[in-house]
Amino acid sequence: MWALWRLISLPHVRQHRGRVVLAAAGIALGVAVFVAVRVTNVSTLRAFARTVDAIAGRASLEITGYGAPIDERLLTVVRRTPGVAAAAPLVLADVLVQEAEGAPLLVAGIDLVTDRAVRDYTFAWQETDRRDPLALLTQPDALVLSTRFARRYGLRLGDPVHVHTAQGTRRLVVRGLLRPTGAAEALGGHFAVMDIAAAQLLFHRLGRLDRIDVVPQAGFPLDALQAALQQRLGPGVQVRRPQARNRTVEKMLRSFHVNLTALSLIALIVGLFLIYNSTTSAVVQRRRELGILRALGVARRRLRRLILGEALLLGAVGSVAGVGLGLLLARLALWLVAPAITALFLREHLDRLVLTPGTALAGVALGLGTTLGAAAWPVREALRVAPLDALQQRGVYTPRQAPVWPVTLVGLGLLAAAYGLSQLPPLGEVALFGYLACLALVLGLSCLVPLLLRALGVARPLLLRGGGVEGLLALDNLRYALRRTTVATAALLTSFAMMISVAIMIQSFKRTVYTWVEQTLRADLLVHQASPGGERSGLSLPHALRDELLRLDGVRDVDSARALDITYRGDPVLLVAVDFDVYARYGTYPFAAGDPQAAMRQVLEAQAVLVSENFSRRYRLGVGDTLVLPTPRGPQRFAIAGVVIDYSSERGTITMNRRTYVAFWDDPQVDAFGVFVAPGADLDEVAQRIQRHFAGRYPLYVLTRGKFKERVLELVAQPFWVTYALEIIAIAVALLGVTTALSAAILERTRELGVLRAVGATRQRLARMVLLEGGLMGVVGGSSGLVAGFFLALILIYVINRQVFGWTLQLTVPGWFAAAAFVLLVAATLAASWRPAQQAARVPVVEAIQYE
Amino acid sequence: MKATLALDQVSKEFRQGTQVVRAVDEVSLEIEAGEFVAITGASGSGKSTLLHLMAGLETPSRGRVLVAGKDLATLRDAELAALRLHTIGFVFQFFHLLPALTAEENVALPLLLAGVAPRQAAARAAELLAWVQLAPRRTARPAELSGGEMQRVALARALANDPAILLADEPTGNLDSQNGRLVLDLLYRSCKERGKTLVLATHDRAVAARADRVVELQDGAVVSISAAER
Ligand SMILES: Nc1ncnc2c1ncn2[C@@H]1O[C@H](COP(=O)(O)OP(=O)(O)OP(=O)(O)O)[C@@H](O)[C@H]1O
Ligand SMILES: [Mg+2]
Repeated sequence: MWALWRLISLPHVRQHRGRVVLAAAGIALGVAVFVAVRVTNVSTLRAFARTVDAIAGRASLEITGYGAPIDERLLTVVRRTPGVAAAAPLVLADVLVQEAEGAPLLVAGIDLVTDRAVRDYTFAWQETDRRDPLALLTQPDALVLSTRFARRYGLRLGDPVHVHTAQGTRRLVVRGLLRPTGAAEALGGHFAVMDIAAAQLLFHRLGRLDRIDVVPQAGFPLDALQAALQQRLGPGVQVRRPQARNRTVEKMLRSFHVNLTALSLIALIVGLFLIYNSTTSAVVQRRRELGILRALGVARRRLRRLILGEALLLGAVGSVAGVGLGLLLARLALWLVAPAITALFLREHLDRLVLTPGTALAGVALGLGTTLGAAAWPVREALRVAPLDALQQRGVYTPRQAPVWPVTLVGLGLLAAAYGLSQLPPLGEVALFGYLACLALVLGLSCLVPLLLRALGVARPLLLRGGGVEGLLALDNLRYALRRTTVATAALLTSFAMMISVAIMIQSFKRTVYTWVEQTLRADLLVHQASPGGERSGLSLPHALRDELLRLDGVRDVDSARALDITYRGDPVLLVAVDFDVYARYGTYPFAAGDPQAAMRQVLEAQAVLVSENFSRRYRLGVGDTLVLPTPRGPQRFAIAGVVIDYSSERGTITMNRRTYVAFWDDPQVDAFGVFVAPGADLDEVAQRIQRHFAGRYPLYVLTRGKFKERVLELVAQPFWVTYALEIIAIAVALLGVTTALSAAILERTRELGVLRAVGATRQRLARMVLLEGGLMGVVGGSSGLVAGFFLALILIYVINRQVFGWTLQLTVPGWFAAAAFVLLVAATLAASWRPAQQAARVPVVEAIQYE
Repeated sequence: MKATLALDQVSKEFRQGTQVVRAVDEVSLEIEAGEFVAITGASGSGKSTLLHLMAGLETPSRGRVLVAGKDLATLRDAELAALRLHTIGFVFQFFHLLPALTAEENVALPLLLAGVAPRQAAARAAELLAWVQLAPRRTARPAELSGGEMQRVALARALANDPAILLADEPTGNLDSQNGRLVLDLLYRSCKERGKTLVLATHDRAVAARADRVVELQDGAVVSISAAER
């Protein structure tokens, strides 16, 4: 075997380095996308878990309210519960630090005395402060920063810092530093502590806590303790293990990888095609050698193993490279998706990508599986030929045109399968059949490419007139090397379809969301809290500011919106509270079910809510049904008054009147105000007046409705950016596939090219012929890619996104984009044919024609 | 009468590693229009190389090749291509038809390359195929033709643009004697009825016997030029 490898495989690989590398690249691409999706997920989850663990310390249970702070008197109840060794209260708040370039910081208000039972801190004091550090720390403006944070932003002990909080801007002083161990490591050091009493004051939590961490007595059964605590504390709070939160995050990340998973499968198809072509070339070009070997008595089995071994080696190299490339892609993906997740922990953990052995193995297995699948057929074909025939084989051009109907039938079958699969319901929450439908669609259409190319025959007279003999010859070359041409064209089709489908999806998303915002957003100005950098920050604002806003000149009315992540049946969903009394005066929601007027009245007057269409679909709840939601006042029943079109959250949205919300959640904050400007008042002027009025207390970010809508569109498109990188790589690989397919064909057609030159064709004409061949592949691949992309988008929109998110998107086709992309693709294919064209022009005539 | 094809002390050397092979050695030759010249010699004596030099497919290491008075060395690639298209027709030992094209299309190819309108090209191709007695096989592809038929198609292709010179390298080498004779007859008639200059390389004495002159090569050099003994 080794001898065969050295004599047959190595020289071949060496001679066709480019093609070998390309095929490996194709596999690498598919594997990379797969790995990237997994790595992003795992890394994000691990980062989150690390933070959860770091802050939880030794606590095995945590007690929180359902989206609201809890009463501090519960602390006594907890401490008295048998089995509790220690209980530490926490006030938690996100702030932005002006002196630290507006960096986010998680401030924990802790009880300095009891907290050490839960978390470890090592304080770094200056000599002078040694006397009585605790006294210093209990000062109301004292902040203890992690050393890492302080060092990163050049802050020192005694430095004053201005922090933006949900309750306005405050001045604090750095009174201590935390060595980077234990909790100080959370969030990559973006963590600070202060005295709990001061924190309660600062963050408007008098008498209340965000969390109680519980350390059980050694050996005490945790389940029993959890149950006992829950029983004593009542249904308004939840007692759980800190790690329970990880599961929620996992679900929240789903939106990101749903569409990418579909694309990673399609990217693998590109790889499949390239391996197929490379293996085909490998056997075709060595047909004689293989024939001779077999005539000499080498068993077919050994040759099969040899060539499959070659392909597998290629696949292995590609797979391993793909894992590496996947890590790179993952970094890009995290970088792009981080702003959308708005979580502190993500930004700090971008450089800690986690590649689990499972992910790596799955990626490699996928790559190798694809390789084997792609290589099996050409190898079988090549070895089926009797040795003598292989010896006498005159060239690759079989005189007989292989019939196209078998593959066409397979293609039609696959398309039918794609349709059937798209009609199946999801498997659990995974749109498995949707993904399979995508695969079947792309493969099915690829199977129709031979028919298309054959059908190009009708264009012969046209090509002859337009492109001269070169056109005719180009066409014939394509049709006679049907298999290779098909596969390279199919790779083009696939990668282009990927781009088109994503473009359609983005456009549909944009259009749909834009229409929705247009319909539901009535306020003229939107007021958010600003970050120190002057951008919109994620910090909330007190609802009390509404009255101040109302008193300003030019302000006619003000409503507000508060969004809260809550859990419904164990899933994270979005709760939105709106000032319905105001809102209903200016507009209404687009209703999918329910009588709009009656529903609005019901929401205003009774304990009723509107649910989004995707919520309704996911939980099979409609108008008249009731929801039971966990609230700080215990579980509460809410009637569903209507189902509305709402794209706020892909996990489902529940909308209620602010008054109802406050009654149960007792939350004084809002995320944004909507300001209705008095008729005749100037928008910009009112905006500036608002900002001036709150200057010093609340830095505000005021947007007009028009600007806001633009921002929304940017946000909608953002998660898709990473796919562009992917699509471009895929298309580039497919284009290189065209290059190698043409090159390989030229190698095999050397004699014909020589003959053409001998009977009087110039170099330029040969070059033009090859360019035309490439161009035709581009035209066929591009136009069928447009079709495939369109149907792929249909599956993505109407099957996958519908099943996973419950969205209904309005299909919108970006016509100009598609047209421009098509032209570019054809141009790129021509460019990709440039080198083969030069290669054809340089064919050594005499050598080519001299021998049989 | 002026020579239509002239070689003036032409040598061709191939370098193979450190070794230099002299395939054609100081050959001077003048061939008149309408003349039939056979080139003979043992295998490796330089016959093919000589024909390639005449067609401008190889460039001489030394000496000049003149076709219709023009020194091939002075022509650019496009001009050489035009020369092969219009002035020279080449017939190969292994036919070298394009497998994807029908017989008629193969014959039409040089016409199309020369810019003849497709319809005229097809008509002329059909005419030539009829002349080589292949009218019924117009739409057959090379793989469906016998060796003799393929060589006749190749001859028709060589004649397509009505070239002044026909170069044939072992045109009968791959055919049985009956087919060989048929092809040779057609070549002979091209020369004598159509007035083509025919240069034919062969190691078959019987074939060479029909030529006006026989040039014998040995190790690339001309050892004798003789009128054929008829
Ligand atoms: N490209 C080349 N490189 C090196 N040597 C060459 C090349 N072409 C021809 N030769 C050598 O030149 C000599 C003449 O070759 P040529 O093909 O002209 O002979 P021939 O008379 O046509 O032989 P045959 O009857 O076998 O066709 C031979 O020794 C051959 O090996
Ligand atoms: Mg020869």
